[in-house]
Amino acid sequence: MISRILFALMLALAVFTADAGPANAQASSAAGTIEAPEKVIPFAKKVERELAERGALVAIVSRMGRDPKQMPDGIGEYTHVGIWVYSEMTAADGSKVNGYAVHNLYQTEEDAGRSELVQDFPAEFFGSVFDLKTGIVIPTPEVQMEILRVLNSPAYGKLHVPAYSVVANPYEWRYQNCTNFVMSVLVAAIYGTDDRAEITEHLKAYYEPQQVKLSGVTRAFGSIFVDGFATSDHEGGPLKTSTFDSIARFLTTYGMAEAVLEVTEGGVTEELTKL
Amino acid sequence: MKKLLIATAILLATTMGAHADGASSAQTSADFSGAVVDSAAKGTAIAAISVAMPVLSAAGAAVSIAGPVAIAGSKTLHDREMKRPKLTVTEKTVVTERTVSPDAALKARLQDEEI
Repeated sequence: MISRILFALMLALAVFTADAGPANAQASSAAGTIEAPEKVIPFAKKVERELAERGALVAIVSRMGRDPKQMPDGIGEYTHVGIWVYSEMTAADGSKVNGYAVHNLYQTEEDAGRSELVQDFPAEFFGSVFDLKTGIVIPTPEVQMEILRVLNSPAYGKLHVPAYSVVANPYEWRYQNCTNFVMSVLVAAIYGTDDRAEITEHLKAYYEPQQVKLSGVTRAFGSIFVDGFATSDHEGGPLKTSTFDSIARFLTTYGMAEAVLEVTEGGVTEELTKL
Repeated sequence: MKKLLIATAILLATTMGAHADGASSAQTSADFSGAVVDSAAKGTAIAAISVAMPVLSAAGAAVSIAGPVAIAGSKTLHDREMKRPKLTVTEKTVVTERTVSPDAALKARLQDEEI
């Protein structure tokens, strides 16, 4: 009996491996990230200038960290989202620098199942990406101001859940990823609350996360082998998590996005109508 | 039976990595995570190589949000003119001040000595 079960499991894995063929074929591009400062820094500066030209004090900015072909259906092109805030930086030499500081939730280096809130800068944000391309939502001035209030308050830290899962359920607080954290900050800002239960109520009522399509085998066994991949917070239901697209849809649906942009090395495109 | 069980476990572990990006099993965890969402700090390369670029370093504590001050002005302007003022971005690029952790520093030193 057990032999039959194991045989069935091995058969399922063989099928799974066959499915993974295209992903294998992309292995070299995963290693081929863009890291050269002479490419990354001008692009980061271009994004900064684009936001500054539009007078954006706060923007939701994404990056394409991986080849989209390698990612599960539903995730979209962008793999990480951070909150960019127009700031004044004091450099080590004492000079003042105006530009954007980036507020992120990142997995810790020591443990992929844990995260921390990290502030870095645009060149670092795009420091190792698959493509120099970004999706951006500039919230309306009113929403920007409320986001700043959250960032400047203890609420920002209170919204962070250190337990990390790449497919964290945005309606639960057991795990969190970068996109769900941004959504929590947005809802906290909009409703003026840091109460998790209240935020969840608002999310359930008005926010539709993205469904992630993973094979049954990956879903069933992923958490055994992979740190930072947990599905227990989905209670057996469909895997849904936040993505750049679902965040952008939320803000545009309720008239809280001033602009949705796609910036590449080649130019800037208004994306509002595509969502 | 035991061998079959072990083989299944190995195949499963290997397959997870293959689905992520075909990397070695040692990299499975990070790569699979990365295949879905890449929530990792990426700036090390920039900070390390940026010496030749117009780059300044800034400690986290030295970053102040310019928003609350500026937004009061921009809101007034916005209300009056429905137009937002442009902001200025300094040409120089800023990176985080990074120090190397003791274990990484020792590892790097020992590797250098081997070479």
